[in-house]
Amino acid sequence: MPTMVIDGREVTAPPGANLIEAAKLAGIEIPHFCYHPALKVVASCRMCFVEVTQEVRGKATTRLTTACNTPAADGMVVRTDTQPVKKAQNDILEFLLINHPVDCPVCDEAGECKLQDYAFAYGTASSRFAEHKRFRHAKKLGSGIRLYTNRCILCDRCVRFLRDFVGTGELSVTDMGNGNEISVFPGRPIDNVLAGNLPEICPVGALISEDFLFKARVWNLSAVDSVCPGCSRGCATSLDVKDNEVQRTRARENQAVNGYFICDDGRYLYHVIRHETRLEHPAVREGDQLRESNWDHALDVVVSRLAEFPERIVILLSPFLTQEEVRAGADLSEVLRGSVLGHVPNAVQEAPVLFPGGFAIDGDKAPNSTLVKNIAPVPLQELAITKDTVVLFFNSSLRTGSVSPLDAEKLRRAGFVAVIDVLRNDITAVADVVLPGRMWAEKSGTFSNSAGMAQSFGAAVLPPPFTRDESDVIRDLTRRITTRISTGCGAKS
Amino acid sequence: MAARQNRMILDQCEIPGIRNLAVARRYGAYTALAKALTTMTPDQVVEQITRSGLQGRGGAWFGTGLKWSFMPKEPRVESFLCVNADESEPGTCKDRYLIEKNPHLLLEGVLIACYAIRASTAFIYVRGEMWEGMEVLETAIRELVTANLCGKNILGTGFTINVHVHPGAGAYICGEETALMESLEGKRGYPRNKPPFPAAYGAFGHPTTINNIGTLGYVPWIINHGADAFKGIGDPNFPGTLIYQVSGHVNRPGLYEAELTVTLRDLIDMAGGVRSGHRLKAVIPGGTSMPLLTADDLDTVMSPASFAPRGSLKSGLGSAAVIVLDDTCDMVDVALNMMRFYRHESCGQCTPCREGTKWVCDMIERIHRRRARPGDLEVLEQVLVNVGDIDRFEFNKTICLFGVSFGWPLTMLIRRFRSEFEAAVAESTPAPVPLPVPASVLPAGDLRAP
Repeated sequence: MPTMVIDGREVTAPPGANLIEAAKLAGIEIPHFCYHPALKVVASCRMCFVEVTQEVRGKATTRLTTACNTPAADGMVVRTDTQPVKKAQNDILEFLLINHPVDCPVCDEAGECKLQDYAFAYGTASSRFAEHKRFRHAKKLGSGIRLYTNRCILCDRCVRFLRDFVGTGELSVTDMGNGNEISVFPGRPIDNVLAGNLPEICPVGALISEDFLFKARVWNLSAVDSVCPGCSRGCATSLDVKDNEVQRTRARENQAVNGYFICDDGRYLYHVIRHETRLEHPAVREGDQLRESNWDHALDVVVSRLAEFPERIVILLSPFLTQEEVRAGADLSEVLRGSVLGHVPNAVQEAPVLFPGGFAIDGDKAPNSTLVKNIAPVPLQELAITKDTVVLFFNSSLRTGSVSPLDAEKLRRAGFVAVIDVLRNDITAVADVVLPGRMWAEKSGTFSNSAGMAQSFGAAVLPPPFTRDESDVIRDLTRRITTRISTGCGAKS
Repeated sequence: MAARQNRMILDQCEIPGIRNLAVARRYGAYTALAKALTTMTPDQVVEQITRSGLQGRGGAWFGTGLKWSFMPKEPRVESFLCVNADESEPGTCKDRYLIEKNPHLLLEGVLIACYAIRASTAFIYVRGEMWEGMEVLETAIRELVTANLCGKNILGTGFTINVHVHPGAGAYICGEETALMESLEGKRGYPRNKPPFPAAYGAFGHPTTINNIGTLGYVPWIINHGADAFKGIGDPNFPGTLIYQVSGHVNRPGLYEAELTVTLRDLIDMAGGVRSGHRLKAVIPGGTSMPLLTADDLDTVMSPASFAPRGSLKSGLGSAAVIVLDDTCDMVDVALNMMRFYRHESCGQCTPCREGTKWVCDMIERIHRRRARPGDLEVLEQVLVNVGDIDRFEFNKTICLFGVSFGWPLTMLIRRFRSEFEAAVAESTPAPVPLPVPASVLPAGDLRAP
C-alpha cells in the first residue's frame, strides 16, 4: 500500500491505483477528460497534469506529469495546485476551446459538461484565438446517438468503450492530426445494446442521445436513485425527472452489480411509464365487456367472490412485484385460510450477455424472480385451476408476453380472475376485475436480484390519479376481507 | 584544411552489383553473421556491441548494446526485432540510400541483431513511399532464404530468423518507435505511453527491440573487426562514423560520411560550400525538428556532445540531416514550410499538439500573407512554448516528442530571426477577426446519416 503526500495530505492508496484515484481518496479532484476508471488509460487529453517530486537515483526530482498514467508510489510528493500545474491546465483548456463552438446555450450537455466545469474552474474567460474555427457536420451514428462533431474534444473515450469494453468497435478515429474525427464506417452504424452509455461517457456534448435531445436542461432535472426493473441483474439507475415525467435514465455507479453502465433496454424502459396501453381505471366485467368502475366497487366485487369460495382461492404473484408486495401477498394468503399461493414465472427470457468489460445482462427479464420463487415456490403450471377457482393475480408486469401462452390458457379456465396490472395485456382482456397498479418509478420498494442482493429504490414521479400501490391494494383487500369475515357481512342473503 | 570523409559504409554501397547476394558475398557479406552464429553466444554479441560504443543513429543516440541487453535472456514469449526504416524527417535520406544500394549490409546487421536478442522474427518497417527500397529488400530476403542465410536452420546452426518487410502508410509519426509498433499491429499510429518500455511490452505485447536501420549497418563491421577497432574510430565517446545528409543551398548536396569529430564548416566544405554569390544564413543541423544554427555556429562539432540538453546551442544532432539556408531565404517562408509539414503529420492524439499545430500554422500563414495583427507574434511564441517549452524540457506536455519537435525549432527560429517576423507583422494589414462559425446545431435534414 503506497503512502504519499498529495497537497500536504498523507494518502495511502490501494496498490495499482493511479494518482487521480489516490487524490480522490484525499478528497482532491484532479481534472481529467480522457481517463475513465472502466477504460484503458491513454493519457491523451493532457488535462490531469500534476507536479510529482520523487527520489530518482538518490536525488529529488520534480516533473510535470499526467496523473492518470502515473501509478501511486511510496514517498511521492504530489502537488496539484502549483503555478506550472495551473498553467498547464489553463493551456490545455485554451487548446480544447479554440475549435469548440461554445454553443452551451443549445447544448444538452450544458450543466454536466466537464469542459464547461473545468473552463470555469481552471480556464480563462477570454480567448486569444483569432483564426477560423474548424467546422464539421453533425452526424447520426446509429442506435439513437448523434455526434455533434464540432464539440468533440477527441478524448477517445467512446472509441475505447466500444472497442475494449463492449467489444463491437463501431467507432474509430478517422483522418489525421487536426482533422481527427470520430466516425463510423459507412453503412456500419453503432449497433449494440450498450450504445446508450455513450452520451454519459462523453465528457462534453459531442455524443448526444436522440432520446433526450432538447428535452430538458439538466439543471431543471431532479435525480432519484432507482433500480432497473428490466432484468434480474438489478442495475443501479438514476431517474431524472422534470414536470412529473421521467426525462431520462442514467447509470448509477454500483461496483457490486453494474459498474458504471446500464444496457439500452433498461435505459429506455422508462417510456413504459407513459405507455398508451397503461391501465388507469379499475374495471369490472359486465357480461362480455369490461366496464370502467371505481376502486370501492371493484374491490367489493373481488371480496364478495373471495368470501364466497374461500377454499377455492388461488393467489398468484408475479416476479415484477417488489419484495414488500410479495410479502403482503403471502400475508393475504394466510388471512384467506384455505387459499393456495403460487407464482407465475416470467416468460420473457433471453440469452444472457456478458461483455468483454465485465458488464452482464441477465436472461430473465423480470426484477424479482428469486424472491418470488422463494416465497411462493409453486408455479402456476403445478396448480389446479378449474372453472370454480377464484384467481387473484398480482401481476404488474412491465413486459408484454411475461405470462406464457400456457399459463394464460390455464388462467382462462378459472371461474373468476381478478388481476392487478399496469399495462393492458392478454390477461387483463379476459379478467373479471382489472385493478390498475403502479410502476417502479411511481412507488418505493425493494428488488432482490439474481444474486440475492436486495436493493431499495424511491418513487420518482407521481402515479396516474386512479392507480393504487399494489401493497396498498393488498392491505385494503385484507382489511375488507377480515371485516367481512368477522361481521359476517356479505354472506349470500 | 577540411576534414576528410571516412566512408566505411558508403564505399561499400558504391560497389557495382552489391545489391546482388553473390557480389555482396564476394566482398565479405555475411562473414560476420557466420562468425556470430558459429563462434559467439548471443551474450557475447551484445557484449561486443556494448563495448564498441555503437549508438543509435536514429537521433536519440542510445547505446545499442545497452538496448539489446534489456531483452529477456530466457523469454517466455517470442521476442521481436523491429527495424525502423520509416525515415521521414525532412532532410533525411540516408536509410533510403543504404536500403536501395546495399540491402545485404543492413540485412546482415538485422540477422546478427536477431541472434543477439534471441528474436526469431524481424519486422522491417519501411516508409510507405520507399517502393524501390521495399522491392530491393524483398528480393534480397528471397536470395537469403534460397542461400539458407535466413529462415529455418540458418547455416545449419539450428537458429531460425524470419525477416518481414512491412510497408508503412507514409505517416511521419510512425517513425516514433511506439507508434511504429502500433502501426505494425494494424492500429492507428498513435505513440504509446512509456512505461511499459518496448523491451518488456513491445509489438503485439512481446518483448521488442527497435533499432534504426542505419545503426544495424555498423554491426557486421564491429563483429568482423572487433569492438576495439570500432571504438578507435573518431571520438571515443561517439565512435564510428555518421552519414551526414547535406542539402539545401550548397553546391554539391549529398551524403557525406565522416567521423563524429567533423565540424559544421567541414561538412559544408565537403558539400562544395554555400552556392556561389550567396552568404550562409542558417543551418538546420539534424532535420527540421532540430532548432537551427546561425552562421556564428559553424565551428560546432557535429556530434551529440556539442548539443547537451541544457547547452547554449539549444539544438540537437537529430538525424544528421544538415539543411543549409543561404541569404535568399525568408525565415517566415521557412517557418511556414516547416509548420505545414507538422500540421499535416501530427497524429492528433494529445490535445496540445493536435490543436497547437493548426493554431500555429494558421498564425504563421497569416503573418506570411502579411495579414497579421499586432501582438500575433507574442501569442505565437507563447503557444509554441505551451506545446513544447524549449527552456523547460522536463515539463514536456505530450506523449511523444512531436510537440517539442515543432515547438522547439520554431521558437528558436523566431528568437534568432525575430526582426524578420516583426517586419512582416509591421507591414501587415490586419485581418478582421472572423465571426464565430455557424452553430453546430443543424436541422435534422442536414444531419449526415452513416
